[in-house]
Amino acid sequence: MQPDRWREIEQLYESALRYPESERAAFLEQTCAGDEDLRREVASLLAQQDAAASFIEIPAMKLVGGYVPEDQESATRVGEIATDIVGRTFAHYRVIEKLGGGGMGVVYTAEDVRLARPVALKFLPEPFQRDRSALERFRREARAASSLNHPHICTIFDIGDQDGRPFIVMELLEGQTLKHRIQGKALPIDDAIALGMQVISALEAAHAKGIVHRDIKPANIFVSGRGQAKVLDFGLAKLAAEGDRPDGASDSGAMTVIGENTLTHAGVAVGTVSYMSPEQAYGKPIDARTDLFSFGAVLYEMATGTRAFPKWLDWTPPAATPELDRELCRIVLKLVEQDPEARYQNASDVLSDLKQLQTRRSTRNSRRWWMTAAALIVLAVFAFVFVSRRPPVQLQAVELTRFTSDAGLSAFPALSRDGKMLAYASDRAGGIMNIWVQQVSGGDPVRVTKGSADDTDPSFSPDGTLIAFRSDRDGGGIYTVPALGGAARRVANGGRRPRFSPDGRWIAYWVGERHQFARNSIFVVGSTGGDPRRLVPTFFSADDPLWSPDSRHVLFLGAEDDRKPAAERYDWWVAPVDGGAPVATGALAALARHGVFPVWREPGDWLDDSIVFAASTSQYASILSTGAINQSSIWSVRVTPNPWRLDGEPRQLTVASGAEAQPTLARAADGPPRLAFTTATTPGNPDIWAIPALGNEGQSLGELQRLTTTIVANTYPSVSSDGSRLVFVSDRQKNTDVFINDLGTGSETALTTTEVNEFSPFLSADNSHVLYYVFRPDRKPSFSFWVVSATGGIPRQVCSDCDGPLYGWSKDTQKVIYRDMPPGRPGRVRVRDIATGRDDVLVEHEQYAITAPRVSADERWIVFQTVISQTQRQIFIAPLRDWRAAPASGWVPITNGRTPDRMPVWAPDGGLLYFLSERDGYRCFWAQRLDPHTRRPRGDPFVFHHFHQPPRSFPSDDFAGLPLSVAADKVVFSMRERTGNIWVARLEAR
Amino acid sequence: MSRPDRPETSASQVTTLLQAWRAGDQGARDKLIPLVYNELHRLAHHHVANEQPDGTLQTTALVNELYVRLVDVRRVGWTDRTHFFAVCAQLMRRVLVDVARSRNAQKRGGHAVHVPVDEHAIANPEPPVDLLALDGALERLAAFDSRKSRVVELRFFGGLDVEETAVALDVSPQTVMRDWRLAKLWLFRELNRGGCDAA
Repeated sequence: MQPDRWREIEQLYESALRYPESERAAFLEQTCAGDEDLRREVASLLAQQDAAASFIEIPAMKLVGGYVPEDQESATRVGEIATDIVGRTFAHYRVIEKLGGGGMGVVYTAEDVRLARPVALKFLPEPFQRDRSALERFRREARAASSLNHPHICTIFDIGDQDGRPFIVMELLEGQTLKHRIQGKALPIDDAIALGMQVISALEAAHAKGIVHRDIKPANIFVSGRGQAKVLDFGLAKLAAEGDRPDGASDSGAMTVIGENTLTHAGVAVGTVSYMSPEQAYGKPIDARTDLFSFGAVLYEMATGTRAFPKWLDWTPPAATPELDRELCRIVLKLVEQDPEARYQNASDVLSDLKQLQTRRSTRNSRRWWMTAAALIVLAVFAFVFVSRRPPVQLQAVELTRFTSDAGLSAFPALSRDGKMLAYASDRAGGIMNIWVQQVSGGDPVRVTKGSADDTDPSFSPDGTLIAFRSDRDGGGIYTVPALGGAARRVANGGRRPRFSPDGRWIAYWVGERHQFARNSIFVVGSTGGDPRRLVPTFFSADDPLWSPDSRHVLFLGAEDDRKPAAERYDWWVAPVDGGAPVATGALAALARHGVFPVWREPGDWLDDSIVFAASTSQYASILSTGAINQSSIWSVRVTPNPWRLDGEPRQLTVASGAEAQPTLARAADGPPRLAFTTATTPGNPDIWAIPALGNEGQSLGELQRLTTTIVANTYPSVSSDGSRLVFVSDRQKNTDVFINDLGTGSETALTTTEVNEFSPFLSADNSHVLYYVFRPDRKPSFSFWVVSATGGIPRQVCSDCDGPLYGWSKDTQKVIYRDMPPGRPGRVRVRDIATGRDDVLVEHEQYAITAPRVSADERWIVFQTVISQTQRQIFIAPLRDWRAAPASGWVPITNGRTPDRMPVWAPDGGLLYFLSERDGYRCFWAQRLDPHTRRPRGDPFVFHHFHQPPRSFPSDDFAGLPLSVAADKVVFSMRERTGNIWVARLEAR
Repeated sequence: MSRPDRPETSASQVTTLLQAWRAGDQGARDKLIPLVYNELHRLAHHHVANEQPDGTLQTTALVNELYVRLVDVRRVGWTDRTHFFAVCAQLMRRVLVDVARSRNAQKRGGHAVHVPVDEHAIANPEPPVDLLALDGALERLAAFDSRKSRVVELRFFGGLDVEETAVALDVSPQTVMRDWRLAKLWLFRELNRGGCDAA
């Protein structure tokens, strides 16, 4: 249809609507005289009116609510295709189509019907299906491999077997293997380096966990359309190799047989000869270095398009070719040394060298570009050449080394002024962030704080004797502590990111939060305390102050007012510390013009005339796979006074290998500047954590404790009111099962071992039984409630038709509290008497859904939230009488419905509520004291525990929030964690 | 269909892309999509089939949750937010149409289960709208009236109400209503003429 014609139709249609229905035909006849097509078109549209009345009026989401993937039963009915896997459901994976045969079996796309995500299923070859010990080894290996959570390792989600068919559930990848990608053609050298870095970082992560791949080759490396590499089949090669050996016990040589071209076992390629290290081929003991050899061969092939070792058992070093960068050639040759001792000894060293090579090349490239641009400028705008001064000194990060190697989070690095010491925060001692100090040249780290809450954001005094830091203790504040340990001293209340002025007299910090409505402010306080003075008090918001080298100015992120849209509101400003007008530098806009976007807009550190900061560029932002989405790198840009302006282009100092952040700079007296920064990784599976507390007081007593440490998801914790027992569900088998943990002895028992998914376990008041529900994502999702003895045994079904999730259990264990969602009505809370089957509404509201209900221990009150709209929830308490809540007019509002609060739970004695709140811009635990008689709020809500650290925002994945559970002595919840480590580098002028 | 692996989405990334898109960088939108897609898919499932069977929950609420999670709200204004919603509407369309497509593919396949028609209908209720056909019709509509196509996308797939749609498209609510009314008729007719595009 032509748009013009359509306009006509539209106009006529609109006009026709103004006439009563009976007159429309006549109107059209008259108006369209001579244009029969037009008349018919409009008339036929009008004719649909009644039939189309309800058409698409209900949003699509609601329409498909009834849709759930076919379940297992219906798949099993497909008897005639039993030999074919497609269409069948294995555990909760429905196989969709065959993708192809891989080295270790046949791969299918499938849907995880439980999580509704696409996955890849790999079925192991026949021989394994009959060999029990091989199967066991397979599980062990796959389990180990599944612990590898790395952006460049294809994630193993699950392993299972059904009808004797073992299978692995993996991340479904899009793209092609490196083998297909290369196909005899060299990749652009920068691509080869970038992919190589990704692969070697994957190997680094695996080797750190003692996992050797053993079959690194192009066919085992997947490359997405966005240039992200994923290493496949970790741990499987070893398994295949062990299949050869009846004992399967030795962990040494992968194989003792050398075949022609590829080694096969039951048709499975095991270690491909062209890429295999000499020690592996000869069946000698191997270690991680065999992977480095294979990686070298792959790297060579990427860079040249030809195999490094085309001939069987001939490890003559590959030839340098014209396209092979000299430095890359050196790296390759060192990787493919025949003698493992002569090779690189670990993946980290390879990564560092590749990283440096990449940095060097990108500088070269951009310098070339700069020179071209400069030449053009000379031609075009001659006059400006005279304005431009000496070419700015270009700095590059070299000798990048990982400074910390923690499994948890080490972050917030701060170099001492002489560049010799590094202070940072780490949770390595018991899960809480403490400040640590370590010599940059090495040596043991010294823990300098030992608070009861997280200490972060350290900053050295210029003489290196003191460290200022932020602590969450006692409501949060700025503290100082002697650099080698000692008593911490509070210098200001509240605040974050303190920084000593270079003259040592002052500490600047900022107060506020990170969200849209935050009005942050910068304060300067004497380094020994005193009254803080607010800087730029008229600003709408100001934070992240950096001192100028002469201590007379502060550069900060600020918004003068909130009149402009947020995108244009902020700039880096410079303000004189002794008052005087702040100056906007125009930095953010200038950086944006270069495609450089500082992370959080924050400036990072100021040394001499350089500001360093973490930023992402459009170039890296375009790489959006796991981890890469978090990709940022460290940049620097020069800043000059009079007026304060950026000078020259921003320079990229590091090559993003993850989320690089928190740069700190120092000039060593005896050498070039040093840079330190953090590289954060992605979070793993949630575990159950506890905060020791006076549960009835809302008072936190100590450090976070991890109660589970398995590599699978542990969720839905519920703790007995005395704090002695914990029940939760865990994904250890291919679905969730209920576990009970005796928190006294630490012993853990699986209470269910079913094929279905259990959720939301609750202990009975006497800790003797556990109630939970089973959710079946069948054709019609169904819920059933079960009770099992806390010591195990056969579960008993207590409700088969309770149509919704479970929220509690009465003290006499006779009643269960659950939610249902009748058609056309807001969700409501019900109570079912198990013995009599009597089922009543407990709380409902005509307009609002009631969610997250929790009955108090004395069973006289119920707390819940109403879903007002979108993100709004309002928490209420309603009195209960005979298991029926008062109508809405009798509810006690606990929150005002405007702050983002949710998931209320009672303290054991009912005198206090805990809830999740985002009122300060983070998702933290808050508490509200209640009047013992009326249960009205008494006083203001207060923070029970902040989760302000990026590693621990709670809960980082499950947006609806998993329930917390409160005992007399602890608060328990499920949380996932980020990890991160600190890197240091030398900055070299170029 | 793009099947991104599970990205660890970062608020600053999403926000940056959102702003870049608003500033006119269409590439940024393409980069946003895989990001938001995955989260949305997960959340959608969470809501329709899992622990939040929430009577009043609208797609808007879902998208709002997503927005809160993915976007650094300090850095974006209202317009960015509506842009985000617009992305989500588009993604919802993709998610839902993909689901429909894969289901159809299964039915067409040789391994399809032979189930009597009405039993199948009961067991696996079809949405009353043929999403695949609607998707196609929307594309045809977009060819000569892209705004109406967007209105339907935002309202039907995105679950936005008239006001929100108006903000997202920068038109008046009256215009949205008018567009909606006519687009509905046109689409309904398209879907009922048996795939023959006479227009």
